[in-house]
Amino acid sequence: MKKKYWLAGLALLAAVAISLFLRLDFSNAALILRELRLPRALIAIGVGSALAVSGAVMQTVLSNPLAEPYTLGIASGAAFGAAIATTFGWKISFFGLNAGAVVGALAVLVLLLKLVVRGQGRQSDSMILLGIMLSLTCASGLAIWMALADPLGVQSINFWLLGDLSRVGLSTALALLGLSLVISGYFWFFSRKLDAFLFGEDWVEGFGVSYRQTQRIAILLISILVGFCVSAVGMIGFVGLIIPHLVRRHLRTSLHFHLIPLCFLWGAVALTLGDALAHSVSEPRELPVGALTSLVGAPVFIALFIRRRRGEI
Amino acid sequence: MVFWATALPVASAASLPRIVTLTPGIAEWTVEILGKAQALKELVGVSEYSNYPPELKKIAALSVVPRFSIERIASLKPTLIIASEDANRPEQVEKLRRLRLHVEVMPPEKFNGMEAWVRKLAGILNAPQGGRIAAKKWSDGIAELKRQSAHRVSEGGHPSEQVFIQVQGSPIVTVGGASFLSEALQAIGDHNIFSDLKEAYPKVSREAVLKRNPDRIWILDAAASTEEIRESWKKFSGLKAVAKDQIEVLSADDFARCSLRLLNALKRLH
Amino acid sequence: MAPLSLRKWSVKALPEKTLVSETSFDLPMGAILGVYGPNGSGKTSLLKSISGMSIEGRETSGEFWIENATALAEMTPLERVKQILYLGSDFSTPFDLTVRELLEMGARVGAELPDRERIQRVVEALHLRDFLPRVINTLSDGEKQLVMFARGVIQKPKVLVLDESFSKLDLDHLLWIAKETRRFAKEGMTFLIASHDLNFLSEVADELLFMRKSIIIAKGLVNDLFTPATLAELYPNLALQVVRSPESGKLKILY
Repeated sequence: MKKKYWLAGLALLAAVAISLFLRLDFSNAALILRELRLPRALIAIGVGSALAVSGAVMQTVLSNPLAEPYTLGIASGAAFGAAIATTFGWKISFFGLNAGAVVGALAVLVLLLKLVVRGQGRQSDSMILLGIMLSLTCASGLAIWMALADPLGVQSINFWLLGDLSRVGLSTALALLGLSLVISGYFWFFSRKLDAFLFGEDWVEGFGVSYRQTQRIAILLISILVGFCVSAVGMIGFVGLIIPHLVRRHLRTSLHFHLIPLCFLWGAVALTLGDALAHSVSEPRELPVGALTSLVGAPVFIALFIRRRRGEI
Repeated sequence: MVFWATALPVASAASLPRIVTLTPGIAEWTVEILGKAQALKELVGVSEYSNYPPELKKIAALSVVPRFSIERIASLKPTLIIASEDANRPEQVEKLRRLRLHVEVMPPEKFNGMEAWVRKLAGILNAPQGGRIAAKKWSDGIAELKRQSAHRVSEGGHPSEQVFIQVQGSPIVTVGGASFLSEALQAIGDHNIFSDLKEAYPKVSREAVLKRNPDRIWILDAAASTEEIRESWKKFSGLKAVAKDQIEVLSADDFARCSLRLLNALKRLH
Repeated sequence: MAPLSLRKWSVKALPEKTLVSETSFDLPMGAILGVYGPNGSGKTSLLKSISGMSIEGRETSGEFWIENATALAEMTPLERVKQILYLGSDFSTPFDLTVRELLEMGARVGAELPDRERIQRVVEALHLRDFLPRVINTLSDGEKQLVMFARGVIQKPKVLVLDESFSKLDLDHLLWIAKETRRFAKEGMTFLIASHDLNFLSEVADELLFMRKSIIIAKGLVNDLFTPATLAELYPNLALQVVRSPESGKLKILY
């Protein structure tokens, strides 16, 4: 097990090194590193880890291995919430992170739970369907809102829909990284309570864990994490789905004690590397990293979905 | 008046044409070609941001950005609609044609070769004389610019400078090689650092700008919060433009249309 | 030891339907109570309600004690589950979990570290050693039920409720599990076992509870309930005979 942590740690270091130094223009190095690359690497670590951990916890708490903030519409809700809050100038912000996004994320998550018919075997599929519908609804709402409230496209819809790590400053990046550490740490501390959810809602109390309370706290924390991530960098999908899935296979367990920290690390690796690649491939242009994660992630999602239907997972 | 089956008017010798222009640049040149008095009489609809000459603002403004209202245009009963091949969407133009409206489509403006463009517009407007005069104004203006820049070089002044044109703050949007602004820069002896990019408005990374290290940065004021944009570059003291304090905010009005205003603005620059 | 007691316990589905009519009884700790009744008789409602599982739209009234501990619905889930654990007939998980992991999860309830000795003992007793590394989703229904039972025993609540939890076991396993259950009961665990199989209940239980249409029509020792009179109350339309099993010597129903 220790080896697995070493591997993840080294991978993270390598990813950060690549992100900082790949194709670096050495004539201007110190400045570029400090002002551009460092915040970018930090935000990639913060968001990547946050999304991976959120995805893992969501999958457990919703008893659905295909749950993740993007496909269930929570990220879209966050974007919509942030756009509305910005337009009305409700700047309840925190280091440049918009609390409207948290409200949006929470609203979608709560709505999702209310709409999903509980206690039915196929509920996980209907949840995905519902989530995708909610996602589309919020994305359309966002588009309309942008057209009406922001026709010059200052905060263009592409930012929300495709994600962009290049817009955050150092302080925001650090704040988000700190938030991710704290909340992931909290989830890790309560990994046994999360384990109780692995057999579905009916079995949670049988393990001595309060179903309602734990679910509520988990949902609140996930909304905060996802909301702030989206408000900083837009919607970046599939990291929350693929990383937990791969880490579970790699660990050969779904128990949270090791799942959470390793998702944290590998999520950070994935996004840091992905962004570094996107950035270097598209030089001098700016390729949105969310487009890349969707391009890679969507087919994987489909493959997972099909395999689950066939009962292989 | 001669009416077609759909009862849309066609200008005859006895009545005034009713002209609608769908880009600000086309509107400006129309005024230039027809002369202000006649243009103001014949123009019945102009697109948003057509603000020069100021009298144009009184003419029915059609919201063209991002897509214009077809019904609004039709209700003005125009005899001639002039659209732009790259600035207006072809589907919209098609819809206008299906309403049996007469639409002429102008090619994109090219800074070098504007004379031909102007003369083509004059042909559509049935004012060849006006077109010749306007085209000559352009050629004269260009010649003046070139003289100016040659003079500067001979005086031992600034050699050819690398310029970065920023159209938007976040994401960073600049102009590509095909844009008339890029060509305009060349006319005054300078160079757009992103002229190698093909698209009209490429989104570039900040690092790319730093790498190409421009001598000057132009920020078009159509981008919101120009001061923030300026500040966002100031911390990069390694940038030549910052070291020489050559970050300027320019009026989008002057620089966003390929018109005589642009030439005048370019002259005023150095 | 104080017993497990119900006093005027009833369960209603709002607004007016009675699922379990008012009932009172006692059960000594360490006993095995078999709960039997046709479908819809209220067995599950009774068992779930006394396990403290609150269900939407269901209302309970009356009192229920386990060794002087009462008001289960107001306890925290952890306190409650140490008193009484309810297990149903099946379970599933969309995740890949091994038998060992499930058993350890059970052992960790209410304890910092899992009691490995206990796990070991129960695993040996139930011959589950080879199953430990198996992924639960790959087990057959019967194997899953064995594992679930093991988890319940390992978790060591005072009362273990098994609602049709042996329904998928085949005959040789049934007899054997009845023996193991009796052994665990001797160590002090109380069992409430609901089953569709009256003959299995006669094998495993000390006392029986017969329910029909929400009413408890009889409670008592197996031998006392396996009489034509009582059986006729349970199934008025069937002709049932009572015989003694050649294998175990317990009373059985013949139909």
